[in-house]
Amino acid sequence: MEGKPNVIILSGFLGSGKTTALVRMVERLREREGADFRIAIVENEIGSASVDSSIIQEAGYSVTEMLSGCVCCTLIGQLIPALQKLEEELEPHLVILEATGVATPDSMANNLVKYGGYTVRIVTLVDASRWQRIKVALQILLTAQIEPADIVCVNKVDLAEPDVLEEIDADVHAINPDVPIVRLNASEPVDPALLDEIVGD
Amino acid sequence: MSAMSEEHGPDCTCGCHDYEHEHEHEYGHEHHHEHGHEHHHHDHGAAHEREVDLGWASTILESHVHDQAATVSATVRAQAEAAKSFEALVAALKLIAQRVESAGGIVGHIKAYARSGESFAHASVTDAQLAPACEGDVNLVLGPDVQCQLVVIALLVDLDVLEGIVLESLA
Repeated sequence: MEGKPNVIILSGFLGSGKTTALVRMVERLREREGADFRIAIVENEIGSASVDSSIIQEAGYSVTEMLSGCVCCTLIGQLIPALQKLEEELEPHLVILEATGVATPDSMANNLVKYGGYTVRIVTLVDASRWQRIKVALQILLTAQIEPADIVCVNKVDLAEPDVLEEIDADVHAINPDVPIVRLNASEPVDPALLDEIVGD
Repeated sequence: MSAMSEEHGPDCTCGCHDYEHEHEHEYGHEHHHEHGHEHHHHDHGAAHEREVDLGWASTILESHVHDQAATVSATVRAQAEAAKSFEALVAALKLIAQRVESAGGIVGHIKAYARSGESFAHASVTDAQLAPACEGDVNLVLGPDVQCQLVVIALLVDLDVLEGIVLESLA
């Protein structure tokens, strides 16, 4: 395959539903692009055990794991070599990198663009069910995840009241004024058009 | 709390900012984040790994601090005569969440996965006030042939406190 694969960085706080959303995105891409469209999934976990990889594998997909650290900081030097190895072995059209819940995607994106020559899309998930409880205590981290996002997905909307969703929209746009915001409940089937908007072209 | 913002001098050589925050995104717009000399530091503690007897199971426990997040990972292998169901483990995960919040911490993510033959179960807890999200066969018995992994990540709580909460809740 010629050219670099595009990279989607799936960002968002711990427990915001990144893994569930990832599986939805991959299912949709397989349906939209066909079986020949190769997707490589990279799971980054700060823990030494990868529960998320097991869930993705249960869904029928293979995963490259980067454990016990974060590719935005402690494992940053290992990210591009890992992607280059994936390119050699799988020749993917797309790489989806699920970041840890404490990762700041901007440093990852910068690294991938500047030193790897990749085109990067940052998708950031926000957990609607506990936004109000964490937004002040974790303001620095949440801001760092939302600020560079190309799209923000407000997830678990079934667990939040409409006024809370409005508040989240306002908070997100205060951080990243022009970012598109979509709402979803990734634990249920998601509208394909919405998934297309999330993964982009 | 390990994350902190500091003002650095103009000739700072801290090494934290070897790159400019400038890159093009897929939408074609360009970000240029000038963070000046205010930095968000990521502190990381050394990892500790040890084997612990829970009474009903043995577990390999690994714990470390990553940035603000205290992280405990465990691989649990039950003893045959004292096997519990995955459902009982989920109750323990919820107890961990309650105890983290009682200790003034914030639950990051508490999750567990177990597989036995064709059966699997998965649980996720993000909030002591919300019901755990489960998939698969929660009646799965955690016998000695079952590989069960769990990860507990919490913020604003000391690592040794979190380790104590995890062990007490799983026992």
